[in-house]
Amino acid sequence: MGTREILFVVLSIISVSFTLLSLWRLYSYIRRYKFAESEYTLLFGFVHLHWFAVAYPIVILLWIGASYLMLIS
Amino acid sequence: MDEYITPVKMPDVSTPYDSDLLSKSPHVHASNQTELFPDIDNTNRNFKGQQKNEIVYCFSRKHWILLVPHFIGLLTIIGLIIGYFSMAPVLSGIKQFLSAEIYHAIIFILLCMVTFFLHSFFIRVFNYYLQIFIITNFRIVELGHTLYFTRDSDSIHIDDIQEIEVHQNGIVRTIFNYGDLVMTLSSGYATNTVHYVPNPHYYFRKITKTQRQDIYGNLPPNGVSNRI
Repeated sequence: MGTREILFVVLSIISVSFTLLSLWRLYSYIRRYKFAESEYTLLFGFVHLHWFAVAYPIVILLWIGASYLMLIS
Repeated sequence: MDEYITPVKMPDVSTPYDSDLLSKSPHVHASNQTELFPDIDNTNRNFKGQQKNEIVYCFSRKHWILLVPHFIGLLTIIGLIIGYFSMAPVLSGIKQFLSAEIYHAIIFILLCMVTFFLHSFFIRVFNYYLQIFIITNFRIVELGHTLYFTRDSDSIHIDDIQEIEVHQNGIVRTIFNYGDLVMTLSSGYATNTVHYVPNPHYYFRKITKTQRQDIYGNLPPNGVSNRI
């Protein structure tokens, strides 16, 4: 395993760890602050916070895959 | 099991809603709707620091316009990534020109930057959801929390607000209907401003009504209109 691959693995581990930490902090906040959302308080009137919470790890994993492709090309 | 108080849904601002709000609230004794301090325990129910008899009337986040630059940045990054993969022949020429080591070093730096941007984008969106402005029967609470760096809370008692103003200047603010709420406190010339409030005139009327309710009770005396 070369330096390039090691750096990539380190970057990916940091990235995934940060994602998990952020989601953990987010949901611990949500548990403490309970507000029933309405159409008036959602982003653009329809976007739930949970949608972003689900999209976040998916985007990060997709980006790790894409960055691996970029690195080996 | 988590139990949510449903904050009173924002009604059409043209309708009188003070008495409606409390009468519809399940936490107010139906037998005595004029009672401002119902016998309920809402301690820490909706937010940390909520008092025993405190009822959340409504809450709001900042206007979505704050996130527009970040969404534009995200779209730009996505465009660049798509562009990178669609320009593979050109990039192989650059790789030969620069030498593989330098090329990969540059690519790795770019990967780090994009990774940082993606995390930053989501953290900012989460922070948007965490920053809340709450109107209760006692006070106005502004929670300026962020996921990592800030844990600010600001509370103004309804009694302490001497004057309230809405600042909605400029074509963008008028079209997208957002502005600043400036509250002058009774203790001198101190002001407290809530920025980027969506539909600020609604919250202006809401605070005014809450103040009136605090002074007169749920049912206003004769001669005082219940309508805004």
